[in-house]
Amino acid sequence: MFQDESSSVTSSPLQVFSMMSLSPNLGSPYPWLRELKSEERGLYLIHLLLTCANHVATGSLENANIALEQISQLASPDGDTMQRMAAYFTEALADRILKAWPGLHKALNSTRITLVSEEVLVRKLFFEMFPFLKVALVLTNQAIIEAMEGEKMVHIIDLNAAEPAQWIALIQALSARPEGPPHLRITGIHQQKEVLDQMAHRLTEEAEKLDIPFQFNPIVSKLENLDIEKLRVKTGEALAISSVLQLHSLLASDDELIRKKLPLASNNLNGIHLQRALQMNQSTLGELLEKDMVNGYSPSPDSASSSPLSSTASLKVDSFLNALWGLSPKLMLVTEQDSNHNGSTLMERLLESLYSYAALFDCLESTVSRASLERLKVEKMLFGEEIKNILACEGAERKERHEKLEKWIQRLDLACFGNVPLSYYGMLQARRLLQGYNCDGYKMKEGNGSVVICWQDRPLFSISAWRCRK
Amino acid sequence: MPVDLDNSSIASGEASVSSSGNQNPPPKSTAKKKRNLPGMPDPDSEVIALSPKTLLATNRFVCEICNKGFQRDQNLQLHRRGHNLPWKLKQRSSKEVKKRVYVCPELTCVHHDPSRALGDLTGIKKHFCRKHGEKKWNCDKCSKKYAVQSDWKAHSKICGTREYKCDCGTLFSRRDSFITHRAFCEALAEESARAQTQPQPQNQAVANPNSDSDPKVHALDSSPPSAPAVAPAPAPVQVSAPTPAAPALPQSTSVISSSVLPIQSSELPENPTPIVEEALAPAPAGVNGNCSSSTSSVSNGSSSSSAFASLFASPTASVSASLQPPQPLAFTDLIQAMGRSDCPADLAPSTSTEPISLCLSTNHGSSIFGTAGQERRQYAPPPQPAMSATALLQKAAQMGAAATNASLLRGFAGLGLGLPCDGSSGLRELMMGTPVFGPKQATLDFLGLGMAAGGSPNGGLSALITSIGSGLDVAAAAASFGGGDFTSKDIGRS
Repeated sequence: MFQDESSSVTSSPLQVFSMMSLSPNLGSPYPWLRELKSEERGLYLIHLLLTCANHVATGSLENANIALEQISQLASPDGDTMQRMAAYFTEALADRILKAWPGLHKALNSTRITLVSEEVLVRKLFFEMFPFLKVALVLTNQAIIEAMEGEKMVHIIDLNAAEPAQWIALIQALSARPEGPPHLRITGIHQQKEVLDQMAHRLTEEAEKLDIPFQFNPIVSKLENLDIEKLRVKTGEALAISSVLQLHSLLASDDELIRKKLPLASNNLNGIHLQRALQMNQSTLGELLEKDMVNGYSPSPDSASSSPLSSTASLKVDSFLNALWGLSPKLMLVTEQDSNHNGSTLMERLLESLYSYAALFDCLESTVSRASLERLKVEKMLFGEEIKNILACEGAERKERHEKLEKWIQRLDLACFGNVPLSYYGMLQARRLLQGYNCDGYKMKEGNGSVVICWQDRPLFSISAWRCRK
Repeated sequence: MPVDLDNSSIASGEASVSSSGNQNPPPKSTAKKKRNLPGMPDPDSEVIALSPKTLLATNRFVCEICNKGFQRDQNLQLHRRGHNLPWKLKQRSSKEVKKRVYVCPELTCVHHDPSRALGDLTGIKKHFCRKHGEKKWNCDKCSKKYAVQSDWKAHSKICGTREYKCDCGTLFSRRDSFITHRAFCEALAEESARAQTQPQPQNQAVANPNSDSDPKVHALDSSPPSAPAVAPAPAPVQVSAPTPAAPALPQSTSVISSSVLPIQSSELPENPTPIVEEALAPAPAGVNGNCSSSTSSVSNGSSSSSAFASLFASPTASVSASLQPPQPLAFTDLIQAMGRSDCPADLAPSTSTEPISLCLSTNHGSSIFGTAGQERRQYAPPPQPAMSATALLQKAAQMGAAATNASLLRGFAGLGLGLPCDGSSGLRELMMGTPVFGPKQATLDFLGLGMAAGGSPNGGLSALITSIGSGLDVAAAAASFGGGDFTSKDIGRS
């Protein structure tokens, strides 16, 4: 196998694949494909995915189609990890191609039914099957308890109030406080009223059981349209804000601003031009942010007025963070994905998301059986949708703009938040929780004043705590 | 022992001691003492917090005649007999001795928390010195330093007595670290690649001349391995690197093993997994049992093969799980066990998942790289469970980077060095250095721009893309190529 090129017959499988993949002369069903062993198949799938994405990115749809055809022979949502991933990745790529025909795309998607109950279920499954949210819960709650020591009036704002478990745990912990429970107010923000109703019910029930003065304020709103006034933060209360996997969606609006400011007429999502332009602008904005960091603390984005894009650069997320800062929270807990899925080109995002979702799919493979329907649901309705959003969408539509922790740290720092180290006791509890999952793959790393949960060294989620810095 | 320390600590006024009374240290009881897991003490044991001064004190009991110091009062008493001085040995009091646990005085330490106290006084002393003390003991032969004298002594015994030498020149005194190294060493790859063309020795599973090596290996690993020894073995392996594969081909397997680059970070599993680490040693015996036959089949003659035999036999490396076709059944059982996973006490499945994923990977590794004929003769593979997606991506990245060099051998050799834990950045540098070969196509141009501007996030896969570009070209040239020629030989089916 590792022989010189002279012996072409026993050349490497990769070259074989390269030669075969786009040669239409092979004839349509590829019987030999079915007989591939799983590792080879996996490698071949990766190869095909890259090839296909490449073609999609350059607009050579014929070739993309051939690649999709081949992948469909091998991929399957019931198969092994790579097969499942390939199924969802190709769905995303196909969706991307289809968006070039908006009429077609809309027609195919208009009759889709999304059941709120299914969404709730999938979120619950994600909460249960993975340790990430639970670890975040433990760390967050512990941080809140420690910060609110001695406070009589506590107000918590949950930027995505979907999972009552977290606040139930907090209520229980607060009721066990030596100085007695505080007067507790929780404001929950969510797009669906039913979810908020359910949450209100669970939480008030729990608080009544433990005899804690409690109030739940639901706010039905999208995060980007949130009206800060509605939060009704009162003076004299200690405020804590919890953001679990929410901030990255605010990055989505920035593309719109940029595009408006620059004379680009392209609606073609597959166009190289758009990608190049976006790429150019993203890097400039990135440089902008970095420049400001380098120049020392710039307390608000306004100080970036020296650079050309500043007039547009009231970035949505920065203004949101500034608004939160204006509420003077005692503590803000940020849980985010720690992967860079916000690259400006399709290929960048594809490569990064291949690694991240490989890790997530591997988690499931190691802990749940392949036949599990729950696993299928999480893979399809949660990860599949995220992947589709990352790869097929652009602009304001692309909400899953995960970024690396360092960038979030920069942003939060820019918005005048100072890092608060997470409680040692909280870390201990979190580690025990991870151990309880009985899976060697999960690791917790500390650094940069935050905690990152990894799967086999691939960082996946980060948790950090912040306070207002004057 | 604790008694005396209590007294002295009260005298020094620094420690807070929760016990009182004059009790003798418990003499050796005939029944085996129940040991709690390290760092998880018995909940109703007494917690003792000693000051650093007390912990580090040695030889507090001094003979008045000759000023000789002793660590224990009893030793001093016995010594006093030699001076014809009156002596008295204190007896253990008849009431039951309460179990004592000790906390580390260092605030930032995990063991400072009473719930993570250590059960042994000597243990906490050594811990304190090792972790929070200065390293005063230096090995004279090498540059290693130790804070605890017994560690230093133990090291000096083996320093210089290296038994294992890898072909790349590195020396090892421990068998397990040697084996782990060989899995990743690229010098081995080159040698095996050269040896690849030689006819394979017959590798049928025979009655095991080496089966006796297994108990020994088991013994080696069952003896409580120090965490660093155990952890590195599973750690790199957890990346699901396709470690040396199936019985068939020592040479090809070593190639594969070398192709698994040390992508794994040096970060060992955090300390709260002593349970896991210890459990790794007694890890699925059934799995190891399977190895023996394949072990023997591998170890034919050459020293390199025997190294791999031992590699397969070593349970800590959890590569041992790697071999047999009967694996898949165990695998599904384990997966279901994981699925049920309400049994926190049962650690075996979790530790087995690592070996299993390796197992599968190795089976396939050999099928990709080995000659197919060998595979078929070895076993009829039932539908194999798959390699983890992360491992597949890393493999693809390596292959991609290698492919741009237009020579897999060179590629692997080039990749052999110092891959960082995160495969992307290191491969990026490598990839940037390699020329993009083949005619410039629109795809390559785009990629070139994209990567330059955005920074290639995963160099290896990007390299794979460029190889695709070149492959496309070849496809055009070989358009009339019949597919049949490739299928049987290269894909390595069976």
